[in-house]
Amino acid sequence: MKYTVGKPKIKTAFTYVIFICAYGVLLIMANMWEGMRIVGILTILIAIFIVFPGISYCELMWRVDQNVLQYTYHDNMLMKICSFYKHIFHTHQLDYQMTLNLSQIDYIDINYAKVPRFPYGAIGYDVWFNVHTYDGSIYSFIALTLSGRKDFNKAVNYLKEQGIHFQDHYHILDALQQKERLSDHLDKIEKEQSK
Amino acid sequence: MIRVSIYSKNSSNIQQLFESFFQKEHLEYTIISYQKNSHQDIYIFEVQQKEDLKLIEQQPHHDYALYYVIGPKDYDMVSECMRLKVNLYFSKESLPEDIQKNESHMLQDIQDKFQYYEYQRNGIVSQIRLSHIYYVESLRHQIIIHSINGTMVERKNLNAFLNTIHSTQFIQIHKSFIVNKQWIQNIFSDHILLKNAETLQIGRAYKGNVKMS
Repeated sequence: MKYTVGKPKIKTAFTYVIFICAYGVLLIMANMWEGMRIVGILTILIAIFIVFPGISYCELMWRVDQNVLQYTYHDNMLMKICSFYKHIFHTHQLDYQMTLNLSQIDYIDINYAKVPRFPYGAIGYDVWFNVHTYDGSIYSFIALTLSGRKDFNKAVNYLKEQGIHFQDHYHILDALQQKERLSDHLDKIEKEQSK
Repeated sequence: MIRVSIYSKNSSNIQQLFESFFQKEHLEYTIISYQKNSHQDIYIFEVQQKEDLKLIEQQPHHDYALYYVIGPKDYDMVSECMRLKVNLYFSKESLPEDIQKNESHMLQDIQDKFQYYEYQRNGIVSQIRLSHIYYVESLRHQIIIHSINGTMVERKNLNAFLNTIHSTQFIQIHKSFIVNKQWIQNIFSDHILLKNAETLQIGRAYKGNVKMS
């Protein structure tokens, strides 16, 4: 049994690419002058080889099974594209940056970070996992950004079933399970703290 | 952060003495009340008689932790503590003097066992205990840190890693491998056997390194 948060969105990426390719084909078919045909061909190539891998891979991807918790984070589009091609041509499997043995995890502390969201700079919240291991090492990573709440809840429940203890001082997991808006919940907590 | 657990009937005095040592050395620490079967970095036990040492015997022994015992000046007690792999034994009657005498030894142990390797990038921040890294592998402009907790991939080269950690505990045995000396089980002519049963090749150019260590 394994649960993944941030699965590659192949179908969504494929839909976008179809539209972009259709636009490229239109440019070629319009056949007004040679330059336009070249732009059409370039548009199709960019859509297939750059846009498709860039959109299909998520910013963060983590996976949990009986033995390990694996995590990877793609800072930018270039990293997503590189990971995609590495997956297709080299490793033939998703490459995770970090692999933690569940047997070594003491507890996971849940925290959050305020971040500006694209494109208007409105404030949003990222959920952070601080994984404390028995030997005293600490691994912190972003576990949830905007989407994937359903998969996130499933993965967290599975971790709990595996005997991993969570320290959730801000009751973030409860808010996510109850389908409450995380930003409302954390805004409320921030207001109470500032009083 | 060093996790310190104290088991004592008169813990305030003992706690104060150890806290002043940590503060003097600018060490980050947290004092946690003693719990059986918990995982801490330093365990401090105050014992009155030999029977009290059963507590240490019952406690699972972790290689990565430090065990200090404070007790009466008694040869039997000290030898029993040695059998139980206690790191330091302090006499109760002269505790402040004993701590002062062993300061450099304690500090060396703490540096060896609890030094961190810090890694930070957008989305990931980690502090890995150096003493729990088995070995570091270099692979296509990346390093893979193999530790007791799992693996971690970072875009770096082995030299940059060695320069970051400033530790004599690690030796390079191959152009692609740096090994933690603490985890070496056996050295053979062309390979090294680690305590976690993995084997690593020794590079011809690095045989001298291995012999010297």
